[in-house]
Order: sequence, then C-alpha cells, then structure tokens
Amino acid sequence: MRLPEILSAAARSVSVIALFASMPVLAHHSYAMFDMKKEITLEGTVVNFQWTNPHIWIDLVVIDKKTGKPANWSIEGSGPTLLARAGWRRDTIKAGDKVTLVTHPLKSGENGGSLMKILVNGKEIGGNAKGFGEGKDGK
Amino acid sequence: MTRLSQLSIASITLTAAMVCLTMVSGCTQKDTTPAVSSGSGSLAGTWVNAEYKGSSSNPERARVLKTVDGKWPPMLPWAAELLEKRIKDSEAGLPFANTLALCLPGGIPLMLFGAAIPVQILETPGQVAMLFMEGNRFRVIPMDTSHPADIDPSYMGDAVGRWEGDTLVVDTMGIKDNTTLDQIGLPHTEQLHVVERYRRTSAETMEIRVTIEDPGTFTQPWEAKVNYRLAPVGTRMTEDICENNRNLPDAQGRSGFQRF
Repeated sequence: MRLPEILSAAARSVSVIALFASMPVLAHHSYAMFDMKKEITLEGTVVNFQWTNPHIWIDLVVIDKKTGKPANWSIEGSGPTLLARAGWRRDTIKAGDKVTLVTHPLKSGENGGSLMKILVNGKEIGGNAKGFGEGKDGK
Repeated sequence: MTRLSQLSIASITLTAAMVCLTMVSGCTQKDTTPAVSSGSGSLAGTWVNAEYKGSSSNPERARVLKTVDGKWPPMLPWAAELLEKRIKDSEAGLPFANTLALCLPGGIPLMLFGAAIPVQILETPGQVAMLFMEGNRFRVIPMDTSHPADIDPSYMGDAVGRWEGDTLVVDTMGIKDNTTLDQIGLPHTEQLHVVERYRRTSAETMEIRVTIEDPGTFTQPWEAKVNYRLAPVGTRMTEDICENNRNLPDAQGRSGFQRF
C-alpha cells in the first residue's frame, strides 16, 4: 500500500469512528422530536436514574444560574444493551449524583432532550452507546 | 469416518480451544458463523442490518423505504397522502409512533429493516426460526407447507418457507394493518403479501430481497432489499423488554416525551 492510500484509509477509518461516536441508536422511536442541530449543556443533580428498556432516563434538577430557580429536566438516552457495550452499568448514575451533560434539546422547547455526553461527579462516562454494526471481527 | 477426517476434526477443535484460551474474556466468545457457506444451513447465525439509516443523521425523505432501484414505492393516492403527512409531522418534531414506538412488535417486513440490533436465525429440520433481540420477538417459519385457509391477522403474520436452490424463500400473509413498512410510517392494508428471499452473499454477509404486494396500497408489486452482516463474535442474545415507555403518543399517534 502506498503512502497516499494508507493516509486515505486512515482518514476513512477516523471518519467512520466519528460517525459511530456521534450516532447513538434510538431504535424504539424517531429522533425527530429532538433538535439535532442544537446542543445545550446542563449542570444539575440527579433525582432519578432509570436503567430500563427501551431507553434509559436521567431526571435531574438544574438550578438557573441567573434566577437561582430550580427547573426539572428529563434526558433520554439509548438502551441498556447498547450502553452496556459502551461500558455503562446499572449503577453508573445514581440519585444525588452531580452531573454535567450535553443534550440535543426537544424541538418543542420543553425541558427535555436526548443524551450526547455526560460527566458524573466530574468523571466522563465512556461513549454514548455502542452498536452491533461494526462487523464480525468488531472492526 | 476415516482416521484422517477424525484427526482433522480433532485438530480443528484443538485450534478453536486454543483461540478461545488466548481471548481476553475466556471461552465465552462464541463464533456463530454458519458452518455451511450456501443454501440450507448457511443462514443459521447471528446477524445485524448492515445499512440502517438512523433518524439522528438522516432526513425523513431519505429514510422512507425505497425500491431496489432507489425509487419511491408505487403508492396509491391515499397512501402517498398519509405518508406525506407523517413526513411533515416528523420534520416538525412530531414523528409518527409506529408499533415499535408503542412497545409492540414492528411486524413484517419492518423488523427486517430495523436498527442494527441482532437477529438470530436458527435452522432446524422442518422449520426456520428468527429471534429478534429488539423487544425479544420471534417468528417460527414452517417449511414446505401452505398457509391455513383462514388467517387471523397478527403482527408477524403467517409465514411459510421453502428453499429454492441457495435461497430461502419466506412467504408471509395476514399482517395487521397497524404496522407500517418503515419507521417513518409507510402504510399498508391487510391485503399485504410479503415474499422474502434470503441468500448468503459472502462469508460475512446475507442479502434479503423483499417483494411487497398490496393492491390496497400500491399500484403494483415492488421489491426492496437489505444487506445484513454477521454480528460481532461473542454477541449474546439478551433480554430486551420494552417496559418503560416514556414516549407514549398523542391523540394523533405521534411520539411524545414524558418529563418528570
């Protein structure tokens, strides 16, 4: 393989990884309810974590920095099967945990969104979800 | 059995055991690659859809189920209008809640076009079984027999199978009309008749060609196709029960979002 071919193969594999990393699987229902072009960051305290099918849910209270008022938010993630493949466990998040998360918010403007990335008590949890699409050899 | 073939089987078993020992996670990694490369026996394994178009990065019109030539299905006016409404609702953030979104089976053929969540095929004498991990659904397809005279419509329909050379042909009728042919909401009537043709196309791939006939919805029969590939080695079929649906639909059947 010549150098340009190696470089182009490397570029392809990088773009595939980036694509998978940014493509959590929500097979159960459509993502169309979320604004995939918008990303917002929330800091809050977890009230309830549901490790359930078809989706995991993080219910949290976010204190508005300007007004000091609390607001309830619900964030929907992928399912336990695909998240477990990305290293999550049922106790990865617990009530009382301080979290910082990035979400695609609901198009309706209500306090909800789909999970993209999360820090739990300051520690990033690996990946959002890992699919089965990478082939027999895991490549 | 000759001594030579006994020896070669012993050496294959030993090699497999050694490979197993060298793997980090021990001997739990089962390779489900079918032992046969074509025809009967070649489909038994764990597969995933190799070309799923997810809703997070594909616009609605790209996700409508297309013909093998990439054209839109030949819909009658009522079906085209209903599909257009569902596309527009989805573009506005109110996607149609198909039966999967209601925690019901997606049905046939939608479950063939679903996300890359494993589907295990078991081939046993007289029948082929398909186990869908999503929602833990299954269908058992009796071989070389005919449909009953009177079929109660169901989600997975009544399916019968046969081998035609290297191709497994599955004929399905009696599919409930609350299922849709794709996730966007391509509709059908209970006249739907689906013929699936499964064929091993390489060591790691399988093609499913699907003929869709429904004079209540389409002007003529048409064909769609989807390619599958083997699931990663070690894939286990685990429980996936749709128990916590916080996306219950509104009065118009569009998926919601239940906040706490």
